[in-house]
Amino acid sequence: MSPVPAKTNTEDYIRMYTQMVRIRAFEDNANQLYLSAKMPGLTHMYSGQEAVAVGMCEALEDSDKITSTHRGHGHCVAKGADFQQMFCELLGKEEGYCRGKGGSMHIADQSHGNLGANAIVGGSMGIATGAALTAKRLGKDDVTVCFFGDGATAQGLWYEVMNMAALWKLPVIYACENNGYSEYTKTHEIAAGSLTARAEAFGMEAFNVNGQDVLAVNALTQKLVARCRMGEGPFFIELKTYRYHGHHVGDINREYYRSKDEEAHWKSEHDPITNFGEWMLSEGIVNEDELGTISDAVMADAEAAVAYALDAKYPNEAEVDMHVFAPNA
Amino acid sequence: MREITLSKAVNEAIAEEMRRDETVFLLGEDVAEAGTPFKILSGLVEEFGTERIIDTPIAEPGFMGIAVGAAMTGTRPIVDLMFGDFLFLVMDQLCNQAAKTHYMSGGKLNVPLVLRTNLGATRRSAAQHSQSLHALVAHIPGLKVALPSSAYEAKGLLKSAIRDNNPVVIFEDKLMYQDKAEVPEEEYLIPFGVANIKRPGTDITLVATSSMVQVAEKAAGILNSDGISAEIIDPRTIVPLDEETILNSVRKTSRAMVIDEGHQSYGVTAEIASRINERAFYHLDAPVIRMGAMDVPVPFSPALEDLTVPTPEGVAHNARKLVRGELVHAA
Amino acid sequence: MPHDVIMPALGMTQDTGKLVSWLKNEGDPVKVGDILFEVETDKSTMEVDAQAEGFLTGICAAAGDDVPVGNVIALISQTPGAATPAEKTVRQAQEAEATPATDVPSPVDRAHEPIEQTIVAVPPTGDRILASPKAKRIAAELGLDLSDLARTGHAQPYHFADIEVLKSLAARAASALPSTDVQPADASRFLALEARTKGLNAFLEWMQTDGNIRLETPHVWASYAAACLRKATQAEDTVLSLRVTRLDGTTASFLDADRQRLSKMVSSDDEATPDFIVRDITDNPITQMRLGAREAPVLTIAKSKKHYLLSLEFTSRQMTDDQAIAFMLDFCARLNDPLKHVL
Repeated sequence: MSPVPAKTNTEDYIRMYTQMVRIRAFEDNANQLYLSAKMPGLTHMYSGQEAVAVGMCEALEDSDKITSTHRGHGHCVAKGADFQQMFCELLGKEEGYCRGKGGSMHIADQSHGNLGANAIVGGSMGIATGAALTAKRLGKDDVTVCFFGDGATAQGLWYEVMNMAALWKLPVIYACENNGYSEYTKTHEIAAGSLTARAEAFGMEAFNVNGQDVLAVNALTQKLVARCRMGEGPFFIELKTYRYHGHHVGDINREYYRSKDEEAHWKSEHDPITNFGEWMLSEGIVNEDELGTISDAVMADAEAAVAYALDAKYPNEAEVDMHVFAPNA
Repeated sequence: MREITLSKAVNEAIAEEMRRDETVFLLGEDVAEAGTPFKILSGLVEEFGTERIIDTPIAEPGFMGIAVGAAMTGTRPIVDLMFGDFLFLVMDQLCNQAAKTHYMSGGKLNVPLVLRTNLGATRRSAAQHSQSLHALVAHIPGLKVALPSSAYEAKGLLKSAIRDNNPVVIFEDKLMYQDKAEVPEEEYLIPFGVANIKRPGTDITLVATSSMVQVAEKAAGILNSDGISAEIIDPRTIVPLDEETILNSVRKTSRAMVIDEGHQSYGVTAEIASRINERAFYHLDAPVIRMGAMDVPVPFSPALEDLTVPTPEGVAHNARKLVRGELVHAA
Repeated sequence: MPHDVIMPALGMTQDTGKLVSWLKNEGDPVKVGDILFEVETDKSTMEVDAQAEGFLTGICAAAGDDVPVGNVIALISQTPGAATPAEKTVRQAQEAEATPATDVPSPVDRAHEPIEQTIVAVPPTGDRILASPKAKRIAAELGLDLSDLARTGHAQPYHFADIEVLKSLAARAASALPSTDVQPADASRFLALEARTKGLNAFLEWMQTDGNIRLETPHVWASYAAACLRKATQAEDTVLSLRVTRLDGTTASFLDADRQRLSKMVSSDDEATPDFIVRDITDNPITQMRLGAREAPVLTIAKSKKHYLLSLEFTSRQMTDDQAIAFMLDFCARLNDPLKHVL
């Protein structure tokens, strides 16, 4: 763990730990729902990357914005969404955050500043930059975090919007979750040179941080968010992390692109939840029982939400052509 | 009434809406001091400053994406896309992002943006600066599409577009920027989905859009000297489309032609002709004829380019045949 | 609580998975990540690993089985003892009930429903008439038959303007039609028209002078009537028998008169009921006879100074009104232009 805790408030630590456990629990249940054919469509698991979403979102206010990706359940939970509406969305139910019209790849709790998960790789980079332009134009001090993966750094859009964000000094943080794999391909096979150097080429400050260390992520994000609010943005952070599952649920035979030993190593040595829990125990912030209580409560919450969502009703057929256009006042 | 150019009408619409609503701003390539290559926006940066008339790098997908994000978070951007041909560059941001956000969010997020661009051939600009691509975006649910046919329509439709809570793509005919029309001094809006009966008639309905309204008017003049009375319907917006006005006209005249400058295949003419067939079939006394641009890339040579778009003579020729009960295509 | 081992859904379009083999046996201890079994999907063979720690129990699918995705195929229990089959059956039944996919109507099915309901079969027609939708609709509303225009030689396609011509054609025929009140099927129906004698007279004269062929009018009647009857009733493959009678009691019968040469008509001695009767009273001052329906439709041909006066009596069992009208118009056309009939 980082030598200097970013926050000294026990409640903050426990909340970060709880949020990470919630993401893991959400994904475990989503995985089961998918494998048991109760969940339609396709879905991508965030497990293993929890410290990135939680470390960053815990440094944001409700009014700050994020844009998310196809691997977006973690961002959604971290930005304040609740399980029940999330599972309803995953199952295409009327009570879902998007009334069942978005599903796993477009899930978002809009009321907490989540501008949506995006199923086009790199598709939200313009949106995040535009949200930052709004803050600047309207004189708000909102900051936008743009989450994307290492695979998205190959998209040209990123370079176009980084250029404009740097020219116009926009309050946006480009957060590249480098989980080592662009779908089924190792990152070094799709990315030449250094990712941070790419951002630096636009005159932007760029940072590398251990994406498995929630405190390190949180400390850096707090610092950069504060600087954004003072007009010093934009920034780029590369967060080194690891996805435990395949590219999507169902991508289970993946030894052609990564070994089981490598996966086992990350799970045993770099698990963000286990390591943070152990750190809190060693610092005397919590005891074993308290950690167990957190996990049990989260599991119960997730199971109840799954049960609720399975029983919830589908949208009425009349919804099918509703929300194509927004009404005009 | 005073007459102003289409270019001036667009400029007035933007200025009026920017004065009215602080959240409206404009971005695009060379929109500020340069006022665009067509000089449409001249004077705006002096009044509103570079904070609201924003020059962007030449990066269409980038500034289109930024506009989508800005629109989702409480502002009303007007994107200036220098040529309609550049739509292909912004397709993901326009069609996958802007068009779908309201629906995918279950109605919780809005994208109130305007994409201003143009259409129209015969400016000797060759294949990548001459296309009329409005059918492409009209195909995507969630986008509204406006096609002003004169300075009057350009101003009234653009003002409505800026106030609309949805992404609107408005195509100006780039050959019409210097054309003058009567435009009132006082404020007015043209609602979407309300067609204009440009010229009443009894023998045949000419449904014409944008640049083709002028062509239809000239054709109607020719037909008139043959004793044929043509009614011209300008839909003004193709999404939403005012079907009723078109159908009522066809029910009256029993004959229809649809004229549009997009490529004829899989285009606007096909869509409107189909709706007439589906909903006014038993009132038709002749097949509905489409006239669009030829299905070729727009050639540079004036000798070739002029062949690719519908002409008043061509429209009149086909209309005459329909009215006389002659065949345009073999039975 | 035991952990379910399920047949996983691994592809977007996959309904079942074929169990290739178990890599653990009943009762084996398993750890998270251990490979439990291999499954063959539409794309490839994949290994499925354990999601929980314990003992593999209650295996209820064997190598080679096609198992619906989502079905429980074994359990991971805390003890190596096997779960009972009854327990498994109940669990699977519950599983099936809870699967939401079953109560979601397939979008494909739904999309097709209304279309199938609204499709109305269009009865096959004979010779197609080319006409505009509006002309067809108006003709139908007025109860007119556009094929009358074709029969009288008007060029196709027909438009709304041609309806006026059709109306005048129909008006001539309709002047003779009885009211459309419902009548018994064997009630006599009556249809009359006048045709100028000029056309046939000129033809007969021309045959006489140029060809030295003298044609008998009864033969002409028989030939015309057979041709018109065949066309109106679409009796292409039927042998048509006709009888021509006169008021003096002479009769002559013909088979397929329309397929015989006018100049060499052969009569038949068939005494059976004919398909059609022509009552020739052209040699008689009587101009109208309405004697009621007979065993076959009766065409009476009388003659005034410049006209043939044709009247048809029939019942709805013998001909439809439309067939009768078609017959009369056709007969009239042949009288006007006999060369056409010969050719």
